[in-house]
Amino acid sequence: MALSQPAWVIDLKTSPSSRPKAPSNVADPPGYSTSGSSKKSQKQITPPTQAETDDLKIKKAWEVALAPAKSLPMNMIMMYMSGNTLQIFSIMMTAMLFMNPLRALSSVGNTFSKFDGEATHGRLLTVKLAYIGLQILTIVIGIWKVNAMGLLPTTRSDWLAWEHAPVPLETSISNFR
Amino acid sequence: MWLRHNPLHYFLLAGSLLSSSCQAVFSDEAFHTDFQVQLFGTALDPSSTFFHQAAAGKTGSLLYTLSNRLVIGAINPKDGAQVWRQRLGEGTVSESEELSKSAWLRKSKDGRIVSVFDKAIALWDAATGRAVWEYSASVTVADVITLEAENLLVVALKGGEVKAIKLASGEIAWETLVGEGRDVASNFNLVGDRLFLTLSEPAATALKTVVISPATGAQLETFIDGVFGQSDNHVSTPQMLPITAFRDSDQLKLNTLGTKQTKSLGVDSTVHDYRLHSVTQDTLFIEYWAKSPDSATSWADFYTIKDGVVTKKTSLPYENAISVFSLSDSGSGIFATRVNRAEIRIYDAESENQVKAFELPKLLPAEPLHVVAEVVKRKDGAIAVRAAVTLADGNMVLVRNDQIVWTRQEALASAVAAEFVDVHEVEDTLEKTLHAEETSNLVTAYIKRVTRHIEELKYLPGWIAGFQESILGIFGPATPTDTAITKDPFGYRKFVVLVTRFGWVTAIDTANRGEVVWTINLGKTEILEKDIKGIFHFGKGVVLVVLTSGDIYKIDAITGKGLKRTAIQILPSASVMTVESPTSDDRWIIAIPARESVKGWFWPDEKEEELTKALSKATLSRKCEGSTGICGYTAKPIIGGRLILTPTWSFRLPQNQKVVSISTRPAHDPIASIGKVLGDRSVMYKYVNPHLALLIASAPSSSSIYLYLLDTVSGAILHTSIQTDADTTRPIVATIAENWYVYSYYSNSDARGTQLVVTDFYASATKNDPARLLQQNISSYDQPRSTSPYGISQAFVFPHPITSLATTTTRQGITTRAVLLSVPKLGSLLAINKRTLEPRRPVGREPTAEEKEEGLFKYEPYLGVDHGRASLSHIRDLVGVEKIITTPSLLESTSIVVGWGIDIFGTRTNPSEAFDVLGRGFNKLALIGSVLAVGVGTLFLRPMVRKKQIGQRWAQ
Repeated sequence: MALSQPAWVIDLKTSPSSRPKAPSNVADPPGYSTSGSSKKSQKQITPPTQAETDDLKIKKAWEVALAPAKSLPMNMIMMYMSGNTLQIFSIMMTAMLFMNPLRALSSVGNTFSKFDGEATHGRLLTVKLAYIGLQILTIVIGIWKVNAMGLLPTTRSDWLAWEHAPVPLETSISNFR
Repeated sequence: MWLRHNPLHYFLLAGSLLSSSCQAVFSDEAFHTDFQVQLFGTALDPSSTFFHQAAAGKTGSLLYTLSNRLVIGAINPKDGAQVWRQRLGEGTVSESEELSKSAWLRKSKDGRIVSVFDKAIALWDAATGRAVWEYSASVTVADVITLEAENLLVVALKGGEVKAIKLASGEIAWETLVGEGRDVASNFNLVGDRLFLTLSEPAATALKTVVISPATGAQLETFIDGVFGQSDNHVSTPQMLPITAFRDSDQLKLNTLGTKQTKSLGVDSTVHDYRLHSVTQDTLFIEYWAKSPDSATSWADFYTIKDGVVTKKTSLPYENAISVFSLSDSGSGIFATRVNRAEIRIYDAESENQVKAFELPKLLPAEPLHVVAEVVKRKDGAIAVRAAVTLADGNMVLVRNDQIVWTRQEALASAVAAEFVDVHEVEDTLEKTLHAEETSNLVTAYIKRVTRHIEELKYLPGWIAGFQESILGIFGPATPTDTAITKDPFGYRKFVVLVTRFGWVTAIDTANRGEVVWTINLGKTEILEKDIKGIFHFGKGVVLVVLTSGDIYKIDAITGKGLKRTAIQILPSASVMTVESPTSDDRWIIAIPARESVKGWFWPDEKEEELTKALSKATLSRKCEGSTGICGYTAKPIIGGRLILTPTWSFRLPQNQKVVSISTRPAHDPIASIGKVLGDRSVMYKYVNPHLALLIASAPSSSSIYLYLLDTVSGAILHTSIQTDADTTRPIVATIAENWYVYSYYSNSDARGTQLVVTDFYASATKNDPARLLQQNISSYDQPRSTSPYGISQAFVFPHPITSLATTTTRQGITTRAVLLSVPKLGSLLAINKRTLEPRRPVGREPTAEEKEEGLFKYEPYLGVDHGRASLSHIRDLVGVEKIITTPSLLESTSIVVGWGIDIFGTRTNPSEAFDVLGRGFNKLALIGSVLAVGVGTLFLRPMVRKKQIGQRWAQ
């Protein structure tokens, strides 16, 4: 901290004391001690190191990345409960199951940009990958659901409409009267 | 917006619409889309057709008749409506010649009529048609007579047994045997209180008369009246006359009963036939008619009978035209009525003069066959006549004085062949035009289209008029439009072309309650089922009727005009079929004789190269000579209208089996999906083969029936099955469509009764295995054993005998099929959905979830009749509907069904519900009403809202 910083920068960086300074002319109520809080504020005043901030950022990023994992069991239960019939609710829920992950996937960079820094950039990659993996997992649940609803052309019967009987090479004419 | 100022108009309009709609609300839907032509058949014999008072107290009489189809009944002479009818005899009737000798209808006492057919006698209530009693004799009945005084019906059986049956109860009052069973009884005559029975003694060639006491049945006297030679025949004699008549080749002999006095009347060899009429004891009237090759003649004579002596009194003039006579006694005199095609003339028996002549407004459509007439002479001397004339075309007309009051199309009951004609296909050129546009280049196609559109403008006024009509149709019952060809958007209008036994071709309109559209005479006196080779479509709106004699009639199916009549020399046993050119509109009929090494024929004998092309890949198949199996040929046309036939295959049955029926898939039988989707989304591929033929053979010696499924190109046997314990004497019927067949037979096994067996064929036993089905082309010759179809069967017990089976057909084959059954016991036409007749139904367990999803339900061996849903004929009583034909309409959901035999019944059926058309239940009025109501509401509210909004703004 060789550089002298302007006062407002310092103000900005250090969190304000939890309580505005009491006017000196007013005595604290009996039994009230400001020593605890003043100790804390004294501690916070010492700024964290860059490494610490980065760790914190990565930690935060992990939290964001793993958030979809928490909703996975809920999604699965909901999908299971909504049944395989084609109804407005099950269709809407299934659509959400695709929409949300796709939206999330398209804005992966945005989501993690506030954690991004020169130092964290490399470490953030695994976090992003985990995030993408989890979103894909959600989509897989959606695909499983769509399949369960019979919407995926995975069976023979789905292609039956494009199958035609062969053209007979011969003709037959008959009258058995 | 003048309307806004007159809101009252809307109320008036709505009110008028509502009131006019009330007429069409509560009629039953079933009777709108279907029709039944109730028929008796052609009156058999003038003595079995009569006017008779239905009940003693009632004034006005009904017309009773016995038809060639053994239907008796009463017709209201005022409008020709059926009052009642009953069918005699369970079996089918084929030949009409013999029938008049074994079946007749007579008046009895107290408003009863008595019918006789073969061994069965029945007394009917004339007003209601209820049977009073029935009696079944051991041998054929020779004659019956009602003895009014004794309240008895005396019956003479052929063997000489005489039984008196009490009219009231049907019990036997007395019985006696005349002539020890050696004599042949012929007829009764009642003279005073002496009942004469005439018999012939074949051994002694004697004519014998026995007098029987009506009260006790005692044989009072026996006379040998004269010689009854080998060549002699009895002539039916009116029972009130004291004479009996018999004939040999050139004489009519009138024997006065109880004496040896016989008067012989010479009958010219040109005389075709004669009839004896009488209304009183002392008048005999004989009508004669002769048919020489070039002209027909007719005349009649009056005779008087006095003290047993027959003397000729007067003669009615000899005329070179067919006329028929009827004798009637109105109480004011005895009159003879003479009817020919142009007029009715009345002759007086006393004065031999023509007393009245009525000229008909137009010629009768055909020569009369026989007539029954009632002549009334009023107090002022005016003569009125009512005559029921049976015509040579098989129909019956009622003429009152000089007016034709009604015509009954009774000939339709004697149809021997029937075929649908697609009226729509005549108009169906659009498809071809569009196709032509596709193939030609852009500029010409554009010009073509524009010219077509300009041409179509001429339909616009008609379309607007029709639109108006259809709008009006929402509010009231649709007014029946004339039968001329009107636009038929759903293709409901089909003509059924029927060839009748009387040698006429008639077309009826399925969209117009079976009304006759046209009728045309083929110029044959009689056409039996064996005489007709077929009715064939021959291009747009043209039908060909081909007879066994080789006559070909080309008829415009829309107008009924005879286009061409020609004859080719074909063998009677030849099979006739049509060939269509694959590239052009050309068609031919070809005849293939049964005998080997005889050349076939084709007609018209032109464009041999085209026909050669059409026949190059074709195999023709027909029944082999002597019906021993099926024979296949290839044919090559040569100049002169002949075909060189090369036998390619034959399938012959073993000695002990004989052909019962051969069925092929319907001509129009599209398969929309080549597989069946199962509950687990896998596919069972159908066995698709357009060349299937199902041959059913019976072996009476082992009481088995054999089913052979053949490929008619290669002759390969694809599938066989055997049913043992079958009753081969009862009807065995089958229908085949798509990849399945259904047949019905009577089983004598533990599950005794009529059985309905369904067999489905799949390409393979395993799922998702299309076998060779996905190839581009398939050849019938390339069928290794491994590709034989996999069949699954299930049998059902049906409670009634089935006489005919058919399948619905729809335009694209997407709709589920329904199997149509004609069940004469119920008098109805039933439809069973193919989903019910599904051999994959689980047996002995509930269906799994997947099977349920597929639509399968638990197999029940007993297939009951669901009258509510299965009966297409609703509550109608169908008499004698034996054959069923079906054709698609333009709507995929709808198939048109017509059953024929005696009655003609037609309907439209939707086996998978009417998914592509609004039902009658759809309330168009409510829809339009609510739209109008909203409109009116808006008109009212708009100024109010505007006013309020403006007010609000001012207030701010």
